[in-house]
Amino acid sequence: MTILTIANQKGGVGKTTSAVTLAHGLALAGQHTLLVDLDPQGHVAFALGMDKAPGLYRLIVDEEPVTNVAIYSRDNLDIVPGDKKTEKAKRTIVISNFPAEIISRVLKNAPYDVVILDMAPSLDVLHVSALMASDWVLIPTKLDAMAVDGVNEVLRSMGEVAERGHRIGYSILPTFFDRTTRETIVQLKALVETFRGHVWPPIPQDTKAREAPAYGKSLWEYCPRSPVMIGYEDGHESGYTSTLRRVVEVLCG
Amino acid sequence: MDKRLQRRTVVDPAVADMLSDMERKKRIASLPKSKQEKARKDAARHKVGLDLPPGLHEALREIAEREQISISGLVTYYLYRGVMDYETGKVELSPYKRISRCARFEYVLDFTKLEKS
Repeated sequence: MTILTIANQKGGVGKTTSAVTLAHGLALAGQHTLLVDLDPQGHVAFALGMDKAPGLYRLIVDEEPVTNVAIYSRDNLDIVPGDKKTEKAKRTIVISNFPAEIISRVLKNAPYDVVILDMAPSLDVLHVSALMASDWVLIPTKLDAMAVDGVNEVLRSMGEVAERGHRIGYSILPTFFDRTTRETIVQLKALVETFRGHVWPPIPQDTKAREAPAYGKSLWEYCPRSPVMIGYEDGHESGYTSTLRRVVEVLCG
Repeated sequence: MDKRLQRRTVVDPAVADMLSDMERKKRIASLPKSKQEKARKDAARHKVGLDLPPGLHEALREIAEREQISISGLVTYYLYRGVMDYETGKVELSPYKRISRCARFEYVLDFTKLEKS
């Protein structure tokens, strides 16, 4: 089992969209996948047309096994939904004996090929615990200065985790990519100059990505041929199809 | 530390390609209007960088010199012939295919036999 965490402390950068799309993509590719919502907003379930539920709370506070808590969403894809009770779960983690190891512990022996953790936009105990459990971190970022600063914050947290002896690989996923604006180009260039090969091809801005959750459909179901999935028709590789290919390369070898 | 040693910083090829394209468009936009059209036409010419074995590159250079044509023209001619031969089934790639370790491609082509011949 490999664990991929989707993180950026900045909100609205496409974490949940990335998590849901990649989780369903991996499931469609034959990987038995679990998507865990660590955000009290509970948008993972919403995006997949399901109800919010205190899945993470049951996992951490009630100490129920993951097989009891995980809910079927699509073929090969289960989710551990979240809701506002996730906040209460955080308090339990804070007063527990080994807070940083709690996610590793609850996911130990989970019967999945891949687990994806969708983080909340914050840097708290759940964040550190998720990083401690992760094999790889994907950091979605809008191409603006504040979101890119969020990338630095995640990397700082990863540095702290590395000091505890757990080194994690990472990639940066530029999202809401608008090839016509000057700032997008400037920020993408700056990102590549700083992080070189860690930067993956961007995800084009696409209204379809905003519409899909309203229908409770993943992007693979709602708009598989749109720019957000396959990139612009300019011959450049981009969109979630190319991201999925790289995730498979990284996680599944 | 040996100063000749340089850290390799590999940019994802798709990202590098996209960035250079965006840079090119930005450069064209900064030109005077009268020169933009020509620059766009020049840019529309497909220029690609290919990894060629050194021996093959040398052979192409020699033929181009002998025939007094550009390497680019010579390679374009060979590619036309190659595509036509492939489309009509005269070229078979299977003997050269090897399983790729890279997830982006199923196979790589192994030219060892051609290099020896």
